[in-house]
Amino acid sequence: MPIPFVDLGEEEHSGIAGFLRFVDEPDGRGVRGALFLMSTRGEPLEFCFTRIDVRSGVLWRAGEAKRQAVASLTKTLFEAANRVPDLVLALAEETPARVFSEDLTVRVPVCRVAAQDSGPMALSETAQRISDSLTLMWVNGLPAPDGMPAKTVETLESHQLLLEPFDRAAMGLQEAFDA
Amino acid sequence: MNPSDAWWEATGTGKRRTLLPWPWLSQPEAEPTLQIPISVLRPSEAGNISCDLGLPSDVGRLDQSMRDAPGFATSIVLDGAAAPSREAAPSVSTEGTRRSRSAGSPSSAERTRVKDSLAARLRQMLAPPLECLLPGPNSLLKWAGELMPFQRDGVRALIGSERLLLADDMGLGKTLQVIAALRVLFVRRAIESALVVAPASVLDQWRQELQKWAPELRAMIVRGTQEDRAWQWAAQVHVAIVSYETLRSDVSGGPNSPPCRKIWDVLVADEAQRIKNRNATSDAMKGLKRHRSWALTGTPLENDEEELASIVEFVDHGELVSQAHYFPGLNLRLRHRELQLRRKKSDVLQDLPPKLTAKLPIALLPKQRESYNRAEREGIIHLRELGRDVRVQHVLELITRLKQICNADPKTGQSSKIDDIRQRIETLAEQGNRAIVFSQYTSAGFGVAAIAQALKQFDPLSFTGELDLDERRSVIQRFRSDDRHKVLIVSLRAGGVGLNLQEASYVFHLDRWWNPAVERQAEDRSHRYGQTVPVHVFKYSCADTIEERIDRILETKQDLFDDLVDDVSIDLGASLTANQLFGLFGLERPA
Repeated sequence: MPIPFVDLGEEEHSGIAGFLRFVDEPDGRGVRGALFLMSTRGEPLEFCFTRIDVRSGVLWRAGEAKRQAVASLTKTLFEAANRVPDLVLALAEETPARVFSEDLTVRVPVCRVAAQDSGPMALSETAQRISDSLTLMWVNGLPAPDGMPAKTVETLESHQLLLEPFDRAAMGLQEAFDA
Repeated sequence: MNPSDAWWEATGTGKRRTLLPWPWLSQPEAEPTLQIPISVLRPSEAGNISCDLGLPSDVGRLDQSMRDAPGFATSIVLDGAAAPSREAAPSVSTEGTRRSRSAGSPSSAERTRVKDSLAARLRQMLAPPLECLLPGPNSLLKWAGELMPFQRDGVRALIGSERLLLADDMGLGKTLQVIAALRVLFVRRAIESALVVAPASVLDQWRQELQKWAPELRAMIVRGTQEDRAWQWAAQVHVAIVSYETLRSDVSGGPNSPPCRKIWDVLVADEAQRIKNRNATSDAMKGLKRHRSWALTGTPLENDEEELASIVEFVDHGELVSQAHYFPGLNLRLRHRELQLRRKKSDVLQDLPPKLTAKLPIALLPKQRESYNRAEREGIIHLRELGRDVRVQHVLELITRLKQICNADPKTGQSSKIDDIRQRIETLAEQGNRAIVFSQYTSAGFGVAAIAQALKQFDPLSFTGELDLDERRSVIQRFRSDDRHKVLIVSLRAGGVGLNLQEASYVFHLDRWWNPAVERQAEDRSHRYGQTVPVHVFKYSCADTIEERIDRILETKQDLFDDLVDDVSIDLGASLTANQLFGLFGLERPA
């Protein structure tokens, strides 16, 4: 762009959220993972997907094998993504806390979304209660209130889009693998 | 070309943007080098991932070499230019692609199609849910107002239908429902182009409503000189708006004429009774290539079942153009039932103030009676003298002549109807009410001009087909914004459809049209969504004249409409026949 300009008619950048979704395969042998990047207007921006076999055998505890699978999937999905979201959300019920406290350090804010009682929090996590039935568990503390991650959460919540995109991501996985 | 280049080309992301941008916030172009920064605290099992990577068949076949890449995941960028909407749903070509792939190694172009197909499907699937886009407190879109529950149902039906006859009662917001549906479809990238064909008098209204309810869509009215229209048809807009007359003219060049070159994602026939007859206009509509056909009319049947057949033929298009032919009978009625969505005001607008209709029998003034009797007597004698040469046209000419005298005596200008209207409007104006007067005639002797002259004390405005579109818009604007104008006098043909005139709560029919549906449409310019007070409708009928006889026919036709459109159950045959016309004068049709 030889002459820099700002299009005043263009709306302000509204924030991008990444939704991590992990779904067990029907036969139980593998896990499918998706990273769904979406603007706070609900606009789908990017969809990354892959799968992995879950290790089995006497040497692996069930929970540990699943955690390994989720961590590996997460790493691969992050590497595949073309954009950097303002924050990443994952479902607490399918993403063990240790994935982001012991396996991976992510340099954008990450929170696990707990729709109900979804297992233990890691010591490094900070809870933010959104409603009676919805809690965000932030890895590495709450984001700054005036920063883009916090604004993104606020906007998503105002459109009731903190949980719904996980459903879309699951449908996308089904379409990608089963259609 | 390597596979990734093919992918960029196919999606239009980054390297090429050939289609209209999505009418939403444009996000910055993808930066292929950016990745989410992570650091791995433990050695990754990435190598094992590649061994277990079960790519979906579409993608796996696309890039066999990628199967061996360690830690591979597929990334599909979704916010580039929209893929053609025909990719949105499985199509014959897609199926063909799938079959051919199973037979052997796919070609490069084929691989591109396959991947694009998956991207298109994902783009559709990952679009915001309909409920997140419709007007409401949590909507992702800013809307100019709320939709009523039945209107939201209508939007859902439109979005979910490739073929729909939206036959809601007049005034229930069919235009609004279509605009909302178009907006959602554009936002979800299910469509890229729409053509709205409407009466000339409402083109500007369509554009204004689009600006109000779907501000991010580019809309253009196709009109003006032939040269102007040539570039207007080629312009990159989301919604093109054109009148039936212009469309008919512009498709006369055959399949290479501008409107015919394009495949429209949505083709809307507003006031679809305009295509009730099988003529050049309806042929023009039915011949346009499109993926969705939506017809809007509160009166899909005005006279007989043939009209319904023509409209259903438009709606029930084949692969791209209308192919099916319908004839009155069971098949038509069954298909009609499947394609029509109809809601009546009485069912969905419990809060809409009532429409109170009163017939006003009125006696002719002495000079009028004298002229009327003489014209009728001489007319009947003339018809008898014609003997076997008498035609329906001769009868219609006599009827027209008599109706004109019922409006006003051509010699003296006496008019019992206009006198009565003047007295009523005096009272109404004092009470702050405003009125619309409809007449099928525009003449200074017995039509719109005569009424305007008689009511000049009320600063009347006239709306007729003689006004150009700018003048029409100006008249409507002045009536709506300036309450010094107590009366709007409207030619039934020019203003009977499409106008929103809730400012008036009194409607007068100076003369009767052959069709109750046309009259009802006219009345519903005032009695519609947004009206806050009861609407009073007055229909004049001069005692002991042809108007009384016409009134009886209208009652019969109303029953026909009720039965066929609202109930879809009867055997038709009650249309106005030549025998009925002759019968108006006690004559028999010659064999």
